[in-house]
Amino acid sequence: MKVQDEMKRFLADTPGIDLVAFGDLSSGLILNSASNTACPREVLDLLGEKAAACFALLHAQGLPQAAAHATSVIHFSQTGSRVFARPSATADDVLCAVAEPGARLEPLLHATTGLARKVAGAP
Amino acid sequence: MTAAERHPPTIWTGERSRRDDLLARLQAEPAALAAERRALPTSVQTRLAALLIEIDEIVLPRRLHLMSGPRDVARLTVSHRRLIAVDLPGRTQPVTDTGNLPQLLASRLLEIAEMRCPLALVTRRRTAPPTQAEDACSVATLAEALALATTQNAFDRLLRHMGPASVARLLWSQTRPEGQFSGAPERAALLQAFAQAFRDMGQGHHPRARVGPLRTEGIAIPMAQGQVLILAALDKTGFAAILPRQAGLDAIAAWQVT
Repeated sequence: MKVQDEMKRFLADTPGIDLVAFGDLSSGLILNSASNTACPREVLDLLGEKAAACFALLHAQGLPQAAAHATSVIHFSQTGSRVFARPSATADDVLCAVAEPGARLEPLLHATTGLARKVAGAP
Repeated sequence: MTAAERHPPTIWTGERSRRDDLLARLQAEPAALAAERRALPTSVQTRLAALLIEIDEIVLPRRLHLMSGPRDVARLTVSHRRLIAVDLPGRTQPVTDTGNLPQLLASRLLEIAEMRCPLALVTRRRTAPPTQAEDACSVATLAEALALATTQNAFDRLLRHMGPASVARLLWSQTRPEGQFSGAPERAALLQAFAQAFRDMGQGHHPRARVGPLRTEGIAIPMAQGQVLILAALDKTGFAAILPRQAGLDAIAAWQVT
């Protein structure tokens, strides 16, 4: 199944999600997305930058080695949450799920990580 | 347009019926019965908006009484579409430093808006012109100050949501950038390191840094052993905390909808 189809299914099956996107951490760009409503390119650009910045933080000087091995990060504000997940600690592929305020984050984290691994073809 | 047309009595009542309003009014003291009494909305933002609209529509000197049943919980002095004073009976200290008046009035308005009890608004004429009218705040000034007050309030609420479940916590501020640590001592160095990385991200040390200075934003990093590390900041104030994963993620979701 194509990445786009996987994302559409994810969007339909996961409650509280407004947008799901697939991006590249090295360039900070979103390459593909699916959303319930039209999403301007600027929003996707910001999402890609935010994903790259969040994972870059894990590699900051002074942090323990284990931090760099994290495969998921959640960025949040009062307007909602963005769950970023990569299939492995060294991968540049990233799945981004944008959730509405108050969405339950634990199942969303689990689902986004699962989709990231599935898209990467991980077992 | 009459005052009644401009302010239909049930427009802000939401969950309250006309009969509820009438019963509440009948419980009030006799003087209040002569005044127009309207229920204010219950949610913080709409209550604030209702108060600002009211202030903006008053030209002649008026005193607005905010009442919970028969009890006066706050009094606003208004004239020339400006707010002059907010008195919270039994609690308000006299204002001595008027340099910070917009922030002071805004924080008191916010305090009123956050009162959990249903509030009714009674407007009374003020015969004597207010003495300190030159210190009055326009609605535009108040709205600007309120934006700052509500963002600070959002950060404080997040901190309260995180508080009970925190295993360890580091709080920093502009006056105390090194932070104040509490909790399991073996976590202090870890939180210091993450806090520094997070602040660097916010200050633009990273080329893609985008942490907005005027709203509370944060990052949650799932850790081993069922824990989560949460970093959040509003401008120069922030915290780093370690919590049980489920409790931490639930706290974020709860904060977003309160």
